[in-house]
Amino acid sequence: MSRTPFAVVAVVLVAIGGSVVAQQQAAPAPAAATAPVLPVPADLPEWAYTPAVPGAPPPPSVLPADDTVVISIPGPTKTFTRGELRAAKETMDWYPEDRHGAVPDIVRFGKQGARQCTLCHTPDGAGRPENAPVSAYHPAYFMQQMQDYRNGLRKSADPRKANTNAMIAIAKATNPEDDRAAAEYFAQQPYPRRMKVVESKTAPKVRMQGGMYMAIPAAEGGGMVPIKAAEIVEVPDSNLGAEVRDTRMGYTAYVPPGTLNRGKQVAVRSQCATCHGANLEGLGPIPALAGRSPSYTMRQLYDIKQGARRGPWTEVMKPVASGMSVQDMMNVSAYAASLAPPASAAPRGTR
Amino acid sequence: MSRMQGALVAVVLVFLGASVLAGQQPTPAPAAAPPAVHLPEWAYTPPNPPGAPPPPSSLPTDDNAVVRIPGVERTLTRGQLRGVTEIPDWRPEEHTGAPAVVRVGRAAEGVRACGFCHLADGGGRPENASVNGLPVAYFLQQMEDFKSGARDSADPRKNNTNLMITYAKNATPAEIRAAAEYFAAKPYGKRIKVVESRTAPKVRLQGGMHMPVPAAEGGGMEPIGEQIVEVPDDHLRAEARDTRMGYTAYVPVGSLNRGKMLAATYQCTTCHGANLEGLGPVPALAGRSPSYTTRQLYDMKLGARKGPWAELMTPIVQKMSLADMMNVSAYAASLSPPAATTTRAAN
Repeated sequence: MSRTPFAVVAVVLVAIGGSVVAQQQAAPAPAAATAPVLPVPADLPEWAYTPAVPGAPPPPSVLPADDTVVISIPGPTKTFTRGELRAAKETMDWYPEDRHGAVPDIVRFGKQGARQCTLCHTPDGAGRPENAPVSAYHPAYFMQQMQDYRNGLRKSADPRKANTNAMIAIAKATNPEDDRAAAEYFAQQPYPRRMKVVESKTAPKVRMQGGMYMAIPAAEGGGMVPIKAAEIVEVPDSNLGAEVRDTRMGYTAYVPPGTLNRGKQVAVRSQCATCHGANLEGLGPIPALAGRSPSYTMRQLYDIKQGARRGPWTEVMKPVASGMSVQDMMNVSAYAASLAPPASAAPRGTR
Repeated sequence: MSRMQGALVAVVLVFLGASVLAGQQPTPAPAAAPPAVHLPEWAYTPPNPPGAPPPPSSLPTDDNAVVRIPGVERTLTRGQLRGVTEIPDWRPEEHTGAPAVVRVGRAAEGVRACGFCHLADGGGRPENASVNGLPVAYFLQQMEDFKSGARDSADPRKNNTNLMITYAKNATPAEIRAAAEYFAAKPYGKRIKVVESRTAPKVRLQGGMHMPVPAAEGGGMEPIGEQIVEVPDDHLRAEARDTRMGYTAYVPVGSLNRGKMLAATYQCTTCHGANLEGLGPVPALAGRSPSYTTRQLYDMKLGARKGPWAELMTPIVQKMSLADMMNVSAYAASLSPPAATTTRAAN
């Protein structure tokens, strides 16, 4: 978040945040009626969790409001209307020729109670900083995560994180056949080399838009501001590309100078490569970290340390995450993101 | 095992094995040839060549004969010890809640009671897995792997692995889960003593495991060589499947220190826990049979065991020599699991 608006927004945030939390405690939403509302941890790294600012007016979209307007992006010749891009029924794919294998119905259309996976995780499964990069995950890992969501073993340390709560509901609406179809489809999609990690004293001013941070355009008061010591600023390289789910678009993560070297040391000390592979490219059913969203990796480490994520295989990570400070997590997430994923990620094993 | 005794014992095993299995296994696996690769026979205990007479058993031959073991009031007949209808259990009060698949199985449909080979408490024997205290998730994955062909033995002659594959295919998901949950809840304690020694007992293959040759039959100590000699502390109690009997593993002098250094080099504790007592769904190694552990390492190196989670072990075993495997298995066996290690994550 940029400095200048930060000061202005701060009061609003506190005031609104307070009222929302108070409301939830007094009259919990129906979905959360059975589960106690967990407090937000004091040291929650907000840059990774991107909590919504309740009541804040939505920032201006790059896209027109009219659903009949035809949208095109640089590159592909095809066009979609604004309405099609809302993906009420199915997710539009600018580059279907990039996909491997047939797209299962659950992935493309979803079903009752379960939105199609690709709406949030994009047609290549690479996802966005606010959710999981599911491409090239081993099916066994994918299946276990669905089980964990279902069994209450995978939550967010930030109870306000709406998409984690949505994912829990989706996991309860799908059956093992749906999960397996999705798992095997995404296992075949290579993870794109799309992440650029830049050590820098400054980072773009950002705002929350569609669940992620986006750089504020210059015309709307954007620009570079000093980066905070313990913060990663991860933004899409094109606001339009992000809004229309362009799967060939890149991301840039700005990190404070020295972060990558410190992160490398944390990775060595924590023996990440033993399970995540020599170049953190994944090993067997253990997920890859190389080139993946540092905001996502950060959230997982923090969720594991907090006990919000505690599925059976997470127990192996528990001692590791418990030994990390928030600063360590940020450094190691940035370092992992800076590594290149395998050039042509081969399809992963199917069991 | 000494070569000469090996020759003598061969038939027995084949004979005994066949007779025990005759009731349950309509189609015994055809005799397989030894693999082309070198195998640490001390860990795989391959059957002796056919034709050797069986070693004398500590048990009577008459199925009606009553058998007693020290410290237990209960008696079982020789016939009961064969476990044809139900597994022999000297201490049923310690094994309450054992599900039917563990206690009786479904022999007619090709599912042997788990508790026969793995014992009523899941403690197992050197020739098979200790399943007590195994995490449920790990147990279920192994059954999946047996079923899918991802878990096999590097030695095609290892008949109990072949049987396990059959059982995994025949057992229902509900039976498998019931067994997993029962064994996961069984305490996993230390029952093995690891001794560094220049000599080890002469052994012979008996009932699937190496047992010391009694002094009266030409037994005694001999130079240990480059191997682990893992033997039960009592013939009779081993043959009678007493769950409280101990084992001794004789290992070459210096093995434990070398094993400790290897465990550090290979970062075993990252996944197997700070004291190799297991972590989450990753199995414990502390206090487990070193013959078993070596077989798993070697099976993974040769690609016979290649389930999804075994992939994590692949880069490690590729770097390990057979001597490394022996040393690290001996070291792990020498550790004590925490006193209160009982129930593991049930998922």
